[in-house]
Amino acid sequence: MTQVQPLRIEQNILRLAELRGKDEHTTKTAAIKQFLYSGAEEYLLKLCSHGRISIGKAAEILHKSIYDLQESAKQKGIQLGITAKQYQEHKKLIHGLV
Amino acid sequence: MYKLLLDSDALIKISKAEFLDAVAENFNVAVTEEVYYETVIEGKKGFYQDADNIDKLVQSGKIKIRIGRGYRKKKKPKQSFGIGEASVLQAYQKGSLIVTDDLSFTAYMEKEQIKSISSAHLLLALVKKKKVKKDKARYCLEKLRYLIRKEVYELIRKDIEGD
Repeated sequence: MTQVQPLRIEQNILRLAELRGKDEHTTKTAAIKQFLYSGAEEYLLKLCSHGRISIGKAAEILHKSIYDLQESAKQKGIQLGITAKQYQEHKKLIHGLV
Repeated sequence: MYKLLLDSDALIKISKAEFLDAVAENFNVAVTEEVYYETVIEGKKGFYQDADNIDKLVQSGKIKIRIGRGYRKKKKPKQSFGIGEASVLQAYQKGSLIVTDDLSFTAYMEKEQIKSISSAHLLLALVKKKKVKKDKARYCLEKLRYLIRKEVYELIRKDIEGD
C-alpha cells in the first residue's frame, strides 16, 4: 500500500535527483524514491545488525529477497549474524550432532 | 541425533560457503515450505545460483520439506518475524535443532528456550565428525567470512585449527 506524503526537499537534493534521473533514464520522482529506499534499506540492515529486527522481516518490509539483503549488507560492510557470545554459548549443542 | 531445521538466512549462507552438500549428506535436514519459497522460488527469480543448488538437494530428497498443513495451525511467535522464520518456529518439534544466523531470531529462541545453532557451528560439527577436512573447512570459512561477524569468524577459525 502506498500513501502520499508531502515533503520539503532541499534544492540541492532535488538537483541531484534530477541528475540521477537523467543518468539512469528515469524521472526525478523515481530518483527521489530510490534515495529513500536506499536509506531505508541501510537503516533496516543496521537494525538487523543490532538484533532489533530479523533479516526475514526486513526483506518483507523492503519487498526484497534475503539474497538481496545479504549482498547489500556485504557491500555496505554491515555485519550480520550471531554474536561471539552466542557462538560460544551454542557451541555445546554440536555435541548432539557429532 | 538432532533433526536440523534450517531458516532461509542460514540455508543461503551455507550454500554460498559451499558446504551445503556436506550438511545434507551427513545430517537429517529439513526446511519448511515457506523457507523453500524464500530460498528457491524467490532466489530463482533473482537468478541466484544458490537457489538451483538448494533445489537440487530438495529434489534429490537430501533436504526434506515439512508440509505446511502439519504446522501452520500451531501457535505463531510472539515477536514479528518474516514468514520463513515464523514457519520454522511453528514447525519446530522436540529433538529438532534450528539453524539460523540471525541475531534477533537467535535471541528470541534463547528467551523461549528453543535450541539453535548457526552455520558456523555446522561447519565446525562437520570438521569434528571428520566429514570435512580442515583444508576444505578453511576454504568454506573464507566464503562465509563476509557473511558473519568478524569476531565469530576469528573464533571458528581457531576452533577449526584447534580441533
